[in-house]
Amino acid sequence: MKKPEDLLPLSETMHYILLALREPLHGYALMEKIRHMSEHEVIIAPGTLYGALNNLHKHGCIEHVRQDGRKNVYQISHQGQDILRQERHRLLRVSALHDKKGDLS
Amino acid sequence: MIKLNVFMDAENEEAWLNEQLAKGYRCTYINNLLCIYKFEETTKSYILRVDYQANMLKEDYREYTGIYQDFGWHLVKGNRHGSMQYWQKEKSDYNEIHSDIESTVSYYKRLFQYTFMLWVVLFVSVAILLSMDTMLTFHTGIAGPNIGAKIMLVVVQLPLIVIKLAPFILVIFASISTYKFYKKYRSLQKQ
Repeated sequence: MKKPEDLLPLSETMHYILLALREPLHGYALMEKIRHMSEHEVIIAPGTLYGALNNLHKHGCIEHVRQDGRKNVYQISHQGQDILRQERHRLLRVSALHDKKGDLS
Repeated sequence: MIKLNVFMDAENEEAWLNEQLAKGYRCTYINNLLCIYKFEETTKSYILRVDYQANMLKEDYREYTGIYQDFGWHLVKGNRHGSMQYWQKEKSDYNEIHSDIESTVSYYKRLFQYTFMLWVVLFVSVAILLSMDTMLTFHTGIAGPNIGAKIMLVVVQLPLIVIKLAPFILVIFASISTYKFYKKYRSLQKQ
């Protein structure tokens, strides 16, 4: 299995997917949830969604929890939660620099 | 309506298919080996997108097609054994199958791998044709100065000449599109 850290820094699509998968969802519901979460700014297309889910699964960041008819339902894994924590730290550091006006040395 | 066309470039093929759809058609059948495309008249407006996927496990392919179908796309042609996938749906606000740069890069990488594979197959067949030199000789000489007979001979052999030259022409087109997709993939990757 590939290392989850290889996905850092997260792409916007993957970041939203991991955040949305803190509750178990299948593909289409996941897209709808991300559309609401992002206030209609991130609307994931099917090819992108399939590729991102496949990639996150290969890196062990999400897991298959059950089958809902023909659809796979996914949820974030422990490793995925760890990746979200690392990404949050990174973004907070960058964001703190935004607030620190003037002296950046 | 049945149309015949040959493509060595998936992007040109997608553009051509969408031109037909814009004239008020819906694509109902594709056989890209025999170059046959069938269309049906419709009052609705449709859009078609081409994707390529390498060999996939049964479960993965079910997941792949399931997601597209949930988003309203209908598979016109495609299978899980390393094939082009032709997705069609009624036009709406969302007509793309890729929504970010990462997946667009991986799409061009897959297209490059596919056209490269096609190029290798064509190149090998051209090499085999060249090694069998009888395949490339045409009968032009005939006893006597009868020009009419000579012209007749060329006309009779014309379909044969086209068939014999086809792999050479196709290999040139395949080289061009392989190079194009490679360049596109690399330049998007750098962004």
